[in-house]
Amino acid sequence: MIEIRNLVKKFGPSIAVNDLTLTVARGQFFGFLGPNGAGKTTTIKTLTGLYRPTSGSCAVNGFDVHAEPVSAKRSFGYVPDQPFLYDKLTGREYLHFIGGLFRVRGDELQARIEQYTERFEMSEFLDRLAEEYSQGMRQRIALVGALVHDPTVLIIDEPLLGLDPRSSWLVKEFLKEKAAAGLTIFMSTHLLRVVEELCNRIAIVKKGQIVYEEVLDASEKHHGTLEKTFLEITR
Amino acid sequence: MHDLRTILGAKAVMVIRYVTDIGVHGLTRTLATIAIFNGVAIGMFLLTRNFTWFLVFHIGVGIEPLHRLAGVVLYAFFVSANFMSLILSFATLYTAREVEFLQSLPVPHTHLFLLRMGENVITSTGVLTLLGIAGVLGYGAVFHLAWYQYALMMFGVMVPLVVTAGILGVLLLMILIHLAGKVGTRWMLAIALPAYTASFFLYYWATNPVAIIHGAVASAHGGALFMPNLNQPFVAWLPHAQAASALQAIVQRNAAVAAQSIAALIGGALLLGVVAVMTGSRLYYSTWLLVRELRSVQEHGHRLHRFRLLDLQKRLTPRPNAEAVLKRDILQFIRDPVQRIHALMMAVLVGVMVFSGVTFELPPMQAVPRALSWITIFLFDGFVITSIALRFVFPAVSLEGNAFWCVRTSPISLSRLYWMKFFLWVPIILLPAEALVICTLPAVQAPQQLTVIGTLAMLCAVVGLVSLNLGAGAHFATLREDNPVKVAASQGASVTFLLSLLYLLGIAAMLATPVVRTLAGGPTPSTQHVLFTALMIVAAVSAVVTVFAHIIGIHSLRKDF
Repeated sequence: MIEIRNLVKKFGPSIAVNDLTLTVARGQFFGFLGPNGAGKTTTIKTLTGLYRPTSGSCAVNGFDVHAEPVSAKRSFGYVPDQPFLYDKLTGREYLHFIGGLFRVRGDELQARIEQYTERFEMSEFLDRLAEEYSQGMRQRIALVGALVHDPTVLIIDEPLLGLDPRSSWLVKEFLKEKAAAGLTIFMSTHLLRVVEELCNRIAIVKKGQIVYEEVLDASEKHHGTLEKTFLEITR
Repeated sequence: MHDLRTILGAKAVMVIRYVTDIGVHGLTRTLATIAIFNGVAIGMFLLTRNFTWFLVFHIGVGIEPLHRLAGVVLYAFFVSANFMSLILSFATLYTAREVEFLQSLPVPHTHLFLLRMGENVITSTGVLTLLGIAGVLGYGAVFHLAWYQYALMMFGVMVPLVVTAGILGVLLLMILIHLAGKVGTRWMLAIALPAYTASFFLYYWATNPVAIIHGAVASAHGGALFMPNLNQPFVAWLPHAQAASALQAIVQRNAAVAAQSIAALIGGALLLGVVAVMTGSRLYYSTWLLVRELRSVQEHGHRLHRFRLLDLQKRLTPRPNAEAVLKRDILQFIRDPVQRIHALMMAVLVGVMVFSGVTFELPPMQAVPRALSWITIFLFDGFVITSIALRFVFPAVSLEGNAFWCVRTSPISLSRLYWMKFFLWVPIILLPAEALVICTLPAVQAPQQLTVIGTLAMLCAVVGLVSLNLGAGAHFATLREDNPVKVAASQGASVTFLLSLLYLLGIAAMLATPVVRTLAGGPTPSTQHVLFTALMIVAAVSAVVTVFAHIIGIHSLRKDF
C-alpha cells in the first residue's frame, strides 16, 4: 500500500505539492488526476524517491521511500511517462537486466517474460534493438519491466501515452485483471474515460492540493460524467 | 555487488555492440576513428621523442632539470584531466537520464556512485590518457628503455596520474554541489572560482616554473643548477611531481626510487578512490536530489532576466527568421546554468593564462630553442581554444534537440541556419584566442613581427576550428541528447578533438621554419617574405578545412530528422 503524509514539495518560491495526504489501500486502482502543472508528476517522483520532500513523508509497503530507499524500490514497479531504455539493448535483454537488478530467479524471470510477451503481443520486436522502437513499443517494454519482479504496488504515469488502440486495450485489460488479483495501482493520467473504466478510487489535484476525492462503485460508474466534474473543479 | 555485475554486464554488451556495428556507416566510422586515434598517437609519440631528443642532445639539458621540466608539463596534463573530469562529471553523475532511471530501481547509491565515477573517469580522460601514454612512449624511446620500463611508465605512472585527476574532479564537484546546498549556488561560485584560480597561483608560487626553465637553460650552459621546487617539500608529494620523479628513476634505472614513486602514485589513486566512495556514500544521493531541485527551481517560476536586444517580440533586422534563430540560440545559452558556469570557468582559465602570460618571461636563448618555445606556447594556446571550441561549438547543432522539427518545417534555409551559428561562434572563440596569443607570445622576447604573425595564424586557426567543430558537430549530431556536456564528450567529439589537434599541429609545423629563420636572422625582407608565404599556406589550409567542414555540416543538417 501507499501512504503519503503531509507532503510538501517546494521549488524555490514555488509550491508544487502543498500538504498532500493520501493513502492507497492494498488492491485499490487509484486514479490521480489534475490539470497540467497541478503537481501530479512531482508527487509521483517524490513517491518513487526521485525528488526529496520539503516536508512530510512517503511510504510504500511500510518502507519510507527516503529512509529505506532500496527496500521501498524493491517492492514497487514504476513506469514514467517517458521511459528510459538502453538503445543498444534488445527488449529481451532490457527485461533480463531489470530482472537482474531486482534479483528475480532465472526460471521465474524467463517464465514471466514469456507470459508478458504473449500477453502484450511483443514477440515481433522483443529481440530488436530498442533504438528501433516506436513510442508504443517502448511503453509496453517499460511496463513489462516494471512487472517482472511481481511487485505488490505499481506506480504509472500516463501508461497509455503513444499506444495504438489495440495495445491500449491490451494494457487496460491487463491492469484490470491485475487490480482484481490484488495489485495496488497508482495511475496518473489525463484520459478521464480510462479512469472511469479502470479505477475504483480517484483524486483530483489542483495547485498541489487534493480538491476532490471519490470512491467509484463498480455498479455506479460515471459513464462520461467525470469530465464535467473535472472541468468544474479545475476551472 | 550483484547489481553492479548486472549493470556492468549490460554495459559491456552495449559497448561491444556499438564497436562491432558492421553496417557500411558503422564500419566506416569505426575505421575512421581507429585511423584518427592511431594517427594522433603516432604524432604525439614522434613529437615527444623529437622534443626530448632535442632538449637532451641538442641543448644539453641534464636528466635532473629535464624531469623538473617534465613535472611542469605533467602538472598541465593533470590539471587538464582534472578540469575535463570536473566538467563532464556533472552530466555523468547528475543530469544523465540513465541516472534517473537507475535511481528509480533498487540499486544502492554507493554502488551507483562507484559505477558513474568509473564511467566518468574513463570517458573524460580517455583521449588525454591516449595522448599521455603516446607521449611517455616517445619520451622513453630517446633513452632506449626495456619493454617493462615502458609498461611501468604507462600503467605505473600515467594511468594512476590520470585516474587521480579524474577521481579528484568527481570528488570536487560533489563537494561543491554539497556546498551550494548549504550556502547557495552564487556563494558557492564566489568561493570556488577564486579558490580554483588561487590554486594555480599557489602552484606557480610553490614551484616557480619560470625559474625551472631558467635553471634548465643555465645548467645546459654549465651554469649553477637552481631548482626552486626542491625547496618546497609538499610539492614533491603532489601527483605530477611523483610522476616526474618516477619517470626520472625509470630512465636512470633506479629501482628503489621508481618503486617508491610508483607506489605513492598507485597508493594515492587508491586512497583517493576510497575517500571518494566514502564521501559518495554520504553525499551522492543528497547532492543528486539537490541538483534536480536546483534544476526544477529554474523551471518553476524562476525570475527570468530579460534583455532588450534579445527580445523576440522586437525586430531589429530586415531578416526576422534569421534574427529569431540567433536570438533563440543566445537565450538558450545564457538561460542554461551549466552553460553559464562552464563559460565562466573557461573565462577564468583564459584569464589566469593571460595574466601568467603577461608576467611570464623566458630566459635569453639561442634561435632554435626560442623558436621551439614560441611554437610550444602557440600550440598550448591553440590547445586551450580547441577545448573551448569542442565544449561550446561542437554541441551547437545537437542543441537544436527535439525542437528541430520547428526549424525544419519553417521557411528558413538550413544553410542560413548553419551560417548563423558559424558567425555567432567565430567572434566568441576569437576573442579569448587572440587575447591568449597577444599576451603569451611576447614571453619569448621575439620581434613584434612574430606576434603579428601569431595573431593572424590564430585567426585562421579559429575559423578552421569553429568550422571543424560545427561541421563535425552536425555530422555526429545527437538530437535526443539535451545535455551539451554529454554531446561534447561523445565518441564523435573525441574524433573531432583529435582532428583539431592534428590541424593545429599542421599549422605549427608550417610556421616552424619561418619562425626559426626570423629568430636567427632578425626581421629582414627575406624572412618577412618567408613568414608571409607560411601565413598564406596556413590561410589556404584553413580555407580548405573550413570549406570541407561546411560541406559536411550543411549536408548533415539535411539528413532525415
